[in-house]
Amino acid sequence: MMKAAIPTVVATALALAVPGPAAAQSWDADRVRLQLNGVFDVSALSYGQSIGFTEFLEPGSLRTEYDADAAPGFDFGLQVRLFGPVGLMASYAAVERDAGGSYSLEVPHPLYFDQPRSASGDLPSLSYSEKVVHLGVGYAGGSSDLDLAFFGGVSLFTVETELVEELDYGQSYPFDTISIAGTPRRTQKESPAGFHVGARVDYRFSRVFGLGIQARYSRARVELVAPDDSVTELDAGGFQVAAGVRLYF
Amino acid sequence: MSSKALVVLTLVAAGGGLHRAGAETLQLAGRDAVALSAWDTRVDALLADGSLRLRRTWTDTLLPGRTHERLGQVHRGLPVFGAELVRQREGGITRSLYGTLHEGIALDPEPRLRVAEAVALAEAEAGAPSGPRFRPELVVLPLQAGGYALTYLVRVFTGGDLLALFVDAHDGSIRLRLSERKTQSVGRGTGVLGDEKKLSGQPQGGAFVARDRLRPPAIETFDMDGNLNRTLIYLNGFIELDDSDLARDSDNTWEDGAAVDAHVYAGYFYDYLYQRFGRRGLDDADITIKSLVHPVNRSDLFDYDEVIQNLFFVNAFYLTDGIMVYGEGLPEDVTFLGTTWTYFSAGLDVVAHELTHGVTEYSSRLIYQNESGALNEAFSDVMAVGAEFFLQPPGGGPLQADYLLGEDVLADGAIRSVSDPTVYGDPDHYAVRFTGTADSGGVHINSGIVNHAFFLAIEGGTNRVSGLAVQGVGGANRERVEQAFYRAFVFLLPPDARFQTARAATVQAAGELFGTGSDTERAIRDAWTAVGVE
Repeated sequence: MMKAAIPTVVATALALAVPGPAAAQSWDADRVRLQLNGVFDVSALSYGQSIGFTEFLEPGSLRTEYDADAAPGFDFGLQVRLFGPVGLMASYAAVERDAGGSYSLEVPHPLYFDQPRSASGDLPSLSYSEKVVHLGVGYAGGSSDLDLAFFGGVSLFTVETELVEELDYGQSYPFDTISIAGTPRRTQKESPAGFHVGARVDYRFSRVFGLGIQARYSRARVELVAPDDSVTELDAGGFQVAAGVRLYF
Repeated sequence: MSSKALVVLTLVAAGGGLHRAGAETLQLAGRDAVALSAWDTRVDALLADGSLRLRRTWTDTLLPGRTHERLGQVHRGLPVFGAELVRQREGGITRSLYGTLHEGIALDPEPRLRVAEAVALAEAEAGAPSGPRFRPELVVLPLQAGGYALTYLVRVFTGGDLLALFVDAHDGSIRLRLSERKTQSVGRGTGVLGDEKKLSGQPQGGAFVARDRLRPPAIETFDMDGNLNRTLIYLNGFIELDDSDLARDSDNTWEDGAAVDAHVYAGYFYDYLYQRFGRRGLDDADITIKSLVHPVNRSDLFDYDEVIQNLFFVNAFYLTDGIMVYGEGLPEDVTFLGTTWTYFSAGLDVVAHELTHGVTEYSSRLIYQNESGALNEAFSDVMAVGAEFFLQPPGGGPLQADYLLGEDVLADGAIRSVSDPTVYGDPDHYAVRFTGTADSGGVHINSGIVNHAFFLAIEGGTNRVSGLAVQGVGGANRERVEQAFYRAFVFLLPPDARFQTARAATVQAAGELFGTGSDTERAIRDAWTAVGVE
């Protein structure tokens, strides 16, 4: 339902803010604009790892699948007009997602070849966070009260995610089964660079205060390195909608 | 780095006993529920304030409804090495508490050393790199001399050992060095016939020895290195073998096929007993299984008399008390009964047969002569066949399950046949049984009659002498006939049992296990009738 609402919000914003004859007045009026948004990261993420290891002379495997839910966050930004309708934009956004997943473990038998034991289960309550610095260029237009801006640029992500890369398992004679005794987590932190594009509509109520809405798509490729040095790629970011206050200087 | 007051509490409060060791010792009476309750309350408080952290909860597999919690001690967010309480609970009530808690830790949790510096120091100490599998961890280390140290626990696998090094997080000294290499190792062995198997051994003195402790009993294989004199002295009980006699391999890739097969097959047979019948080894109490290989040198064959040749070259035998001896086989250019013979441990059925004599030793103790002796031998053959079908794929080639005995030891043919005993000169019907005195009254001969009954009960067929046809239970249900025979031979037969007794016992066992009038009971009864045992 959330996804269906997004295009409507954006289309409404665009319709309200079609640049008219007085375009670029908002940039002319004040050079600096601060924005503080509450955001909602609409995109859910799915990623996983396949980790190989050798146990009892044979290869074993741990396959994990993760899902990080759509989540709220905040966004703090600064816009500086350079010339005409063109300005620089910088913002910092942070989102904490609820993540969970599942695992499938296959461990060789200690006494016999070709008789692996397997176990599977859920991995609840994992953490996933994205902190992003967006640096970009914007093009703004509209009336003195209502303006629309399009922007885009680079995004510097810091992604921290809890991963389960090995499992504590128990076994006892005759070793036909294994029982999972623990799912130790490791936090992996990566800082990839990506991009973003977006649009926002701001409405100015007074000389220093306004409200605005924003839609932004950002993306960065995160490489998760497992203990066996295998690499799993994850696309961080996604589509984000935001609304908040504006302060003009 | 040192504590103001070291108080180590060692709780042994099963049923209420509580013991405080160290400077202060508190000994509470056993079954003191009040003390246990008080400590339980305190543990809950420690959990609530974060001084204890639930590390893991297990469900008790032996006592339904019981759980076991492992609670690790934490000092300002850092684990205290080795400090853990184990709490047994049932329906919310604590039944026991064991463990150690440290009090009075006054330690700044902020390290002066960086992680990378600690790892470098540990690597220098170990002489090997610490790979990404081992993540350094900041822990509080209780010191033997008293007090505590803030340390990085860095693990390094050196190739020969797994070291846990505790690097002082302030001055970089190595506070403690532990070897965490588990003493059991799984090696790769090549059997006599060239097949690869996993071999459970133990590292010892830079090599690996054939002592299996993965299974519940110790399973040990000794290499007698062709020293018959030492073998005989040992078998007579004048000396004990020690670790230096164990078969060993330098790199855990075992190539002495005789030792590999003796060791691995002894374990396989234990598995068969356990998984098929729930029996824990030869005595059902996990007696150690000791296998002796290379009791003689093949090249010395003609230096020995016929008795030694028959016993230590072309035979295998169960002595007593879990001790097995496997014959060395013959030099490649020597034949016996028209074929060459390899190491006797090469045959899973040979190993299972001989070890079953151990089962008999600790159960029915069938007297080893005449019909009871033939039953003794037959039970070993039955179990040998059962073990093969349990552990090997069916077929007619090497390392495949069949109704022959010893086919993997002889280059051509076998020692006995369960499906058709007459192929190797043994009777398949009571009317043609051996009645002489040789072979202790035909224990290896008349076993064919019992063996054939076992075969007919499973596979069905017609007895050659009686012409009676039997509808067997089928190979897919072979475990039913095996279990009926096992139950009869282990629990029901007396030492002097005769074939008729065995018939009655196996039929009764089948009825008890699978129901009176069941297919299994009928097949076993018909099979005995077909071989002339009424």
